[in-house]
This record gives sequence, structure tokens and C-alpha cells, in this order.
Amino acid sequence: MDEPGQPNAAAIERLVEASKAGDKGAFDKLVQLFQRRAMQLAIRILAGADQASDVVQDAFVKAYLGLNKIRDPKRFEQWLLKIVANLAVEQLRKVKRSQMVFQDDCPENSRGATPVEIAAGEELSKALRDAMAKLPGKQAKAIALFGLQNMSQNEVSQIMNCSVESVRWHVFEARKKLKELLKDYL
Amino acid sequence: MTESGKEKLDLLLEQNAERQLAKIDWQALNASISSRLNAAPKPATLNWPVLLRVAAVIAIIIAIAALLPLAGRLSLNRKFAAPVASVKFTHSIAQTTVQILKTPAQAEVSISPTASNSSIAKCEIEIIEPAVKPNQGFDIPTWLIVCKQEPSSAQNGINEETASLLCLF
Repeated sequence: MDEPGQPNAAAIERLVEASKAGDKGAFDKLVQLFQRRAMQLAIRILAGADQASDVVQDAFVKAYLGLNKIRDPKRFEQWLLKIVANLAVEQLRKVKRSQMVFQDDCPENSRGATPVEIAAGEELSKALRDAMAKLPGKQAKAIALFGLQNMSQNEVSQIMNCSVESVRWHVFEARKKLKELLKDYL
Repeated sequence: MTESGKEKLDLLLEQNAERQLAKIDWQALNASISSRLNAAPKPATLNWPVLLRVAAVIAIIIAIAALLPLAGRLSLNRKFAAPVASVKFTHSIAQTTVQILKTPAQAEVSISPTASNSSIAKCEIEIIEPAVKPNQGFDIPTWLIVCKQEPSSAQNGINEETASLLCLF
């Protein structure tokens, strides 16, 4: 499905205001506009489509129910992405807990395969998710948001409620740890 | 971390993201979200009528709290600062009558230096409120000070000291 063209801020504001008034059609439009962006972020944190899909659904429902909390309707996308990132990191923590409980059930990585072959398989997805789960929440959010297309460092800092310098530091640390954790795949 | 390591990592993350995104059935996702939204209640809205009612009650309480001390002061003023009485005292030179014509606070008084030569002078008076509250219905003395005298009074044989009155009633 092609990503719909981005409407201007005024149009987004109108849709948000209509949604606040209970117009579910308007919110459906917001879903269509931002679901791909939300999925991109969730996948970057959770590394898997199924888990990301659940998180994105939860995020949209949470956003709909909390529409009156949004301070600036024009910044709906940033507000939504913040919800997505928080829920995805929450999900990662569950992954981390399940790793601790079911460590013996985790399949061995298929060492010896080339990165391209690994990237083609589900195993990479799991390896990435496990690695992301080992990162602190802020680092996971930072590297995921940083990787989104057309997302400026300033926007990432606003979504994360911290300075641009902090974002850069979290990204640097996240890359360092991921490189170590995923060294077999690099 | 080396640039090549960084690029490899970014490439790995990007490849996985693209691969996972390709698996998504967007229409199914959209339908699933819509279905969940339909089951969801309306977004929590602020109940303006209730809020307005609460705000009105709070405003009324604040207004009453602010007006109560003022009302108390007004009632005191009525009792003590607006005496309907004539004040009379005897001076060594002449008998002077002070009659409060207009109250409160700043008022005109008529001064009659003698009974035969009743000359009226306009003065400003100041009524000093008692600091204590009335007790069991008894009036508390109030000081009345005539703090200004017009020349006409002095010309009628009363010097300023005579005309500066200090009354207790």
C-alpha cells in the first residue's frame, strides 16, 4: 500500500479536532496517514512485523482515547510516535523477561551464514529484537527514531523530551552496544 | 565505532525493517485498528457543564469569603461610626457644641462657641473606630477628632486650640 501524501498541519489539526469531537471517520483518516510511519518505528524497535502490528494497534487506540491530552494537534505525528515508542519499549521489556525465563528455548544463531542470508530469514529479526531488548529504553528509542526517514534530530529530541546532544549520545551508545551484540551478523 | 561498522549496522537494521514492512497487510491492519476503535468509547472529553457549575460554586464561595469581613465592617460602621447624637462639652472660655450633621468618617460639624453667639464653622472630623468588637450589645466609646478648623470660627473669639475638639462618646 502506498503511503498517502502528507497533508499540511492545518489539515491534520482539523482531523484531530474532528476526532476529538467523536468523528471516528476523521480518526480513520489519521490512521491511514500515519500507520506506515508508526509501523516503521515499531519495527525498528521490535524488529518483527507481528509484534509491531500489535503495538501499533494499541498505540492508535491509546491515541484515540487520549486525544484530549494532545497539546498541539498539528504535531499529532510526533505525539503518536511517542506513544508507539513507549509501547514498543514496554513490549521489549516483556521480550527481555521472556528471554530470562525461556533462555534454553531460544534457538541457536545460525553462525556461518552470510549477512545477506541471515537478513533474509526470521532469525535476524529475532536476533535484532533480542539485541534491542538489551538496550536501555532511551537508547532503543533513539536509534529507532534516528533511523526513520525525514526525521530530524530536533524532532527526535522533542519526541524523547531531551536535548539533541542527549539523542546523539543515546544513538552512539546504542550503536556501540548493538555492534557488539550483533557482531556475528555484521 | 568505525564508519564501516556503523554503516553495516545501519544497513542491517534497514534491511530488516524493509523486510518486515513488506510482510504487512496494510488493509488488514487498518481494518483491525478500525474495528478496535469502533469498540472503543468516545475520547474522554471534559464535561464543560459540570466544570462550569463547579467553577461557579467556587467563585460564589470565594466571593462570600471576600465579602464577609467587609459586611462585618459595614455593620460596625452602622453601629459606631454613624452616631446620631450631639456632643457637648464645656470649655473654660465658652460652651461649645459639636453636632454631627453628616457621617461617617469625614463629616461636617457645627460649632456653637456660645449659646448667644451661635456661629457655625465647618470642620472635618475623623472618627476613630474602636479596635475591639462590641460585647454583649454594649456600645464602645468612639473618639471623634475635629482636625480642621475654618477661619470663620477663629474670628469669633475662639482660637484654634479651642476649636480643635476631641470628643469621646
